[in-house]
Amino acid sequence: MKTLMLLLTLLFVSGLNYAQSDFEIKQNFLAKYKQIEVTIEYADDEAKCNTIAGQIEKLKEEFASHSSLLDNALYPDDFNSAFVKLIKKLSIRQTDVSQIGDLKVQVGELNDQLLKLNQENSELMHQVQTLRRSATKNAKTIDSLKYLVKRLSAKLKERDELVMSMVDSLFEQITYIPASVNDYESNGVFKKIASTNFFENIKRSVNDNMKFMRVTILTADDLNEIRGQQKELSSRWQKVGPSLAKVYLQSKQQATEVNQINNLFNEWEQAINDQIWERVYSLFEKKNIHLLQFKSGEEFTNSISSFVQDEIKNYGVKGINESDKTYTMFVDSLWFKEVEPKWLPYLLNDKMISEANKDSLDSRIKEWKEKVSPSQFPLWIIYVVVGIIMVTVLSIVIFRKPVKAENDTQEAG
Amino acid sequence: MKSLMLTAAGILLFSLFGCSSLKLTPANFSWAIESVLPVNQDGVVTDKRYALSFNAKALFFAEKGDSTVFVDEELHIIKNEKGYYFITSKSFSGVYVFQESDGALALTNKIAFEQKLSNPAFNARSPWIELVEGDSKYLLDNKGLKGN
Repeated sequence: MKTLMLLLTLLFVSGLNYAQSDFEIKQNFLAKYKQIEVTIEYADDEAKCNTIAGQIEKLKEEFASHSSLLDNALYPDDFNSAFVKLIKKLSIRQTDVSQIGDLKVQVGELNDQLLKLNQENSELMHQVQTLRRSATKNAKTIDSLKYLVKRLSAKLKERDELVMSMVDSLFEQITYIPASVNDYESNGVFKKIASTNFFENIKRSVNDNMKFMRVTILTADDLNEIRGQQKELSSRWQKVGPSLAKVYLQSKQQATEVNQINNLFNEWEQAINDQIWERVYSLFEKKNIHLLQFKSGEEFTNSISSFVQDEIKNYGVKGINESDKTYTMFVDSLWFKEVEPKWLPYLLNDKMISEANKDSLDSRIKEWKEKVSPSQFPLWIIYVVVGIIMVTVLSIVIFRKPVKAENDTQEAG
Repeated sequence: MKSLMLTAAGILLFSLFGCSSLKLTPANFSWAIESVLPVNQDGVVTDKRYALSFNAKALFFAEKGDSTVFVDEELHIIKNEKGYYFITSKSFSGVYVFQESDGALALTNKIAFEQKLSNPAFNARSPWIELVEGDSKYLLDNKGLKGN
């Protein structure tokens, strides 16, 4: 900007010494005109716009005596129409500046709230980490921890909403830029807004959410809720992020920032998946069921299937009681009580496992069940057999009574 | 015979009137301001505003005896109300006056100066063309300097 001003001044000064020909008068006028145009492009507040309005008036007065020359020289414009254009440009800029002023206030306020929330969240995060590490895990500590986790989760959500409000409000402003404002102008104009670091805030938001998952122990419902948040934030970012980067960042930075944030959202999604698999794995570990580690639906299916297969194959090898105990622990305590009702629905819904995987696991469990307690005759057969036996017995009893009565009668006679 | 001659004279007179070109007058061809135009690598000068272009190599040859010394040069061009083109440049020995002619600019006059022009510029000062050279100013038309 300074270099440009210097060049234009030099041009003007050099023009002064040789301002003898009409051509040079025209060139001087055009140089000063261009200088004002550039100043308009960089104006970012009302005061500067007012100063520029004064400069326009001054230029008009300075060249008023050459108006008839300039009427011809500025073809297809003339002296007056050239100033009409300049004033119109200034007017458009004044509207933008006013909108930018409002936006700056709004973004400033959001930014202040954001800073406060970030601080609170950092403190909460620290407290959660401290409590988790605490050697004294009594009921009071656990309750405090639960309370803190809940509070931290709420605060993180609040902060995320705030960041997205900033993103949305900045994105709305893009649609207000008049068609006449080109990329060059909008980049210059929105520099100050970019300095609020809202791209950094988005990154921080995602990083904090990932950190939150690391420091807390989350249930299936919690993780499902976090996944919902991740999807929503990611989707909103995809809609507006690249456009915002185009307007608010220098071209070199655009691709880097957008890629970094895209990568962070992908990392977050992966972190949620990893957490889910870790939580499911830990369910079995806690019950002393040692499965092969899994990080995907296929691996999960293979791990469970492999374990069940081994149990079926080795049923009774370590003793029937032991095998039955393992079965009960796995199937009754874990599979039907925890995994199937609490985790499988989310795994299916989020396409972490397929229906085919689930069917395969169901059939494995059924197979194991068959091994442990082979299926008995259908009950109705038992009833029929019991019925037949009862009828037979009754028949025998009934048959016997009349024969004895005849013998008694014969003996009496 | 007399009637024959009268008829012939009438036909001749009629033809003369018929053949005379139609003139729209007065007409003003002047440019309000000079054009300062660079010579491109092919020796061509182009003015977008007036949709004018011509090859200036011959002019440089006439002025400097070398048709290749036009690189990085600029020509000052202006047109007066009669439609004559006045062309000069830095280090030229004078002003060349041209007229449009059958797909060319034909030289009609060269207004010579004692000293080579160091920083010439044209102004339209109807009906004259004013040549500004430093502190000196000269009024020109297609015939030469005013007063000459």
